[in-house]
Amino acid sequence: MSIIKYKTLKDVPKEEFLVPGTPLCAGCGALLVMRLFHKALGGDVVWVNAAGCVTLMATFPYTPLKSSWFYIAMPSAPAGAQGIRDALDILIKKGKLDPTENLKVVVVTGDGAASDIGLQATSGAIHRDLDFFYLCVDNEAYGNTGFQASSSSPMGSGTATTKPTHLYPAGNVLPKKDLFEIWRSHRPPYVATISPSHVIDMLRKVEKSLSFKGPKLFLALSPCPTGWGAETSESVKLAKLAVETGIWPLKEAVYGEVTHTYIPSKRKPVEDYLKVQRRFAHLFKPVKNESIIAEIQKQVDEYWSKVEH
Amino acid sequence: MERGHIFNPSYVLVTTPSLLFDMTVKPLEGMAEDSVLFVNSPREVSIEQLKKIRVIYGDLTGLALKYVGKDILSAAMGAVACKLSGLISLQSTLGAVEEELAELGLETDIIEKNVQLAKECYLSTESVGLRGLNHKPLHKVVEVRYLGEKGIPDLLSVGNTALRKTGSWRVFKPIVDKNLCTACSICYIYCPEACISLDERGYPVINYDHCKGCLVCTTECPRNAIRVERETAWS
Amino acid sequence: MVLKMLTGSQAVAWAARLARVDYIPAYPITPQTEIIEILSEWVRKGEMDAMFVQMESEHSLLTAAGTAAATGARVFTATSSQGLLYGFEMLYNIAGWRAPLVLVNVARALAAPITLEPDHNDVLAARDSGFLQFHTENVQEALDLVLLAYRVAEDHRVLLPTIVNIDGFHLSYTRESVDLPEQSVVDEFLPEYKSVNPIRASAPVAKGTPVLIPPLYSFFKYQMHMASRNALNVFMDAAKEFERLFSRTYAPVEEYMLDDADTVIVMSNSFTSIGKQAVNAMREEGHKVGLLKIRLFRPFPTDDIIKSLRGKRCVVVIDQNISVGKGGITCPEIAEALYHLEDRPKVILPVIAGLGGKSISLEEFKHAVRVANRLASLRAGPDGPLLLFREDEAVLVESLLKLASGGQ
Repeated sequence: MSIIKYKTLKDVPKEEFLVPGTPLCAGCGALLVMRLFHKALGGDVVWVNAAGCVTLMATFPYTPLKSSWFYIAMPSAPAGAQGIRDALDILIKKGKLDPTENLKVVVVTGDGAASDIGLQATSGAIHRDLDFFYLCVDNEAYGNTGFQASSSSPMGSGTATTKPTHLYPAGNVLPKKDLFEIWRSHRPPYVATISPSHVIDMLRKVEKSLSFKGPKLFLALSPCPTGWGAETSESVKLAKLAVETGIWPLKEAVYGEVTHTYIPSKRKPVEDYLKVQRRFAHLFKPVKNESIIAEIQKQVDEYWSKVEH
Repeated sequence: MERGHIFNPSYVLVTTPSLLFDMTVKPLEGMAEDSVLFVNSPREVSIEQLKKIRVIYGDLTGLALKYVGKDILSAAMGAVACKLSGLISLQSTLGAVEEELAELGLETDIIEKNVQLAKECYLSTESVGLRGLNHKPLHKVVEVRYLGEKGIPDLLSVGNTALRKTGSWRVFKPIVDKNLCTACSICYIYCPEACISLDERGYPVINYDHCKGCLVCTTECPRNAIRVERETAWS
Repeated sequence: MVLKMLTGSQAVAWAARLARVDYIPAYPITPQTEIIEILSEWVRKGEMDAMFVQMESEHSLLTAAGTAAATGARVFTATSSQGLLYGFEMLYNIAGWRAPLVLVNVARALAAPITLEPDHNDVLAARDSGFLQFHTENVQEALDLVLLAYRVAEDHRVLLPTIVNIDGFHLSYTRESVDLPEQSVVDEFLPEYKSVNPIRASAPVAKGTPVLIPPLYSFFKYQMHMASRNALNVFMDAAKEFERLFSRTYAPVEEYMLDDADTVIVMSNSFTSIGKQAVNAMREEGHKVGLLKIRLFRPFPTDDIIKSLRGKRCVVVIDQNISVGKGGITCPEIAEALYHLEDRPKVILPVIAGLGGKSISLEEFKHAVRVANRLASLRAGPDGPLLLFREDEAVLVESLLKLASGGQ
């Protein structure tokens, strides 16, 4: 393995594993993440999916993937991955399947499945040291059902079930569950956060993970124009802003040891990121909510103050 | 009183002309010769079955962009639907638009723009009265055959979404200016749909059959080498 | 012939071992635990060339079982009651994926109130899922029907997962004399599992995709139904082969003293044994009573039931389950099968018995038979299910309620 395989954008692999024509929203951040992620993974993949936006990419009789795909149910994609991985292993071991038929098993779910209904199955799979990948495309809500709050929705965001009202001026009052830390607490071989805006960082992380056997877990910020209330053309720009404001740290953890792979030298104010999304519009209109914006900024500042340079 | 699938519609309204060609949608099914099809399009669309049906065209997308600044069509389509039968007044129509949009929590000026849009669409659409009520399509009941292994919902034709021309979603079309482009490949990298490929010299080629017109490429191009035009092929 | 004293759990574990299963996902629940303990030990000792994985819930257990089967592995798993219900959606999923596997359900009544005793509400809840269902009376049947289940489920004319039901405690923890088949003969009976569209690198496939087009969904469900109906013929072919190799006969139903019977008791699972004893006792008193045992519940053996019950005067259906607000689950299915016959029975009496493991005494059987015959004489029908309960039980219940309420 060599993580210096990816140095510049010219090193982005040219082969496409996803074919256009999906019914996903124009500008879908999750689709961009999957497309780029797949390039670093290569071809022999079976995607194991739990209910979410991405489920709709393959609806009978169409699939955009040249690789295999298995839609499971909402709570148990990691358990589905367990069955596939174990079956491949035992069949190969017993000589019933040629080793060339082996596949990488990759769970892909949204944040709803990852941090809520599927958390139990995920913890079980990681605990059992399952040799699999998990790509969580995090658009910070239950997107497919109309953008209701999930435990990944950030404090201060408006969703269909956390609408800002005079009683709840912040919109969502609960904090964003720290899925990176939950995964990391199991001490799996590899956990990383990625962003579709920082492509080389993403590709390097995938490449690095390939050298590990066991759970390889990725949390990808996935801008959602439909749910976040932004222009479809801004998806990559928003991802970049999330990183540059420090809201979305780019980091990895190898057997629990954390390293930040990118540290913004001078963080942009969180306001720059919040004000261009309608899900945060209530923090600016009709009156600017200084205290909530300040609270968000404070949490970001506190996080980075603990990060050693 | 109808429920679910409407077997013999009096009116069919289609927002995206490319749906007329979609195999699974089949919007024209069950239409009688005197029923009415409304298509959101600035120009006539040529399709064999349309020849027998009364078709009305209207550039609702153009009007929406003019009044509201976005291609959001609900108020426009609602107004057209209300006018076609002649049963719903302008006042009721505009009142409905205002009430619906207020419930969504939109700002007053946005609501007002939508009301104006609805008004223009209502006034510029003709009323054709109740149509196609006597048409009874013939359906035959058949026995389902057991297909064994072939009747399992496994999808073997991988990578076949290419058959769905999502380019028809496009309202705006990105066009690369080869004179300004430096073949940096950033647009290729950031296209969520894999709709940009690179030619032998590394210059981007956009797949217009599938490009949804999200315009991420336009935003990310460091040279502003991609310009945007209103899509004319379908809308 | 090797005779061994085996519990139901041991017997089904042996069946899985003889079937050379590849994959055993597990999660413990009383009264199934002995099954997974035995299999785990055999795998750890290298006596079984299989992979054993303990999952973190039954929902995950069923998921892993289904995807492993869809990947081409021969899968065995077991659960019960609350566990079956916890993973309930996956039953429909696995059947819809057309992934054959064998799931042993160790029947246990459902909470609330929570209990460990057996009845059939758990397994029957799964009747609509697409899983085939075989019900077993004794430990020998438990072993044999697991082998038959693999043969039928994996047949390309069927391709549906199968539940083999064994009553908790009465079979799972009870030792009976069992003829343990020889591995070589089982190998002859059970060919290697040849899956359809398994997941592998050389042939990418998309499974489980949404079907959003209504007639297409209907179509796939019709296919499943027809596959399940096919299973009747496939079962009977397999049973013929089974008889040839193992000298034991299995049919979708079993008749006991039916020929000249005018009253037939219909039952399933382990209490059928005491039903047969009750029939013997009533025969000694001169009553022409017989018993029909349902072995295959899905697919429903309509023709066999018609053949066995037509022309009979009274049918007493003993349901060890209850659909609250209606009555037993199997009785309406039997009544529908008989409805259009000219010579359908005069009375079909629905009886509820054995809920939560409640015993069924000879007097209760006799009472049900008497009620049915009285109705037949009056040319009347029952006005609801007969809820069997004894005086000694009523006294016990009264005292327990008094204790619980503090003597109030």
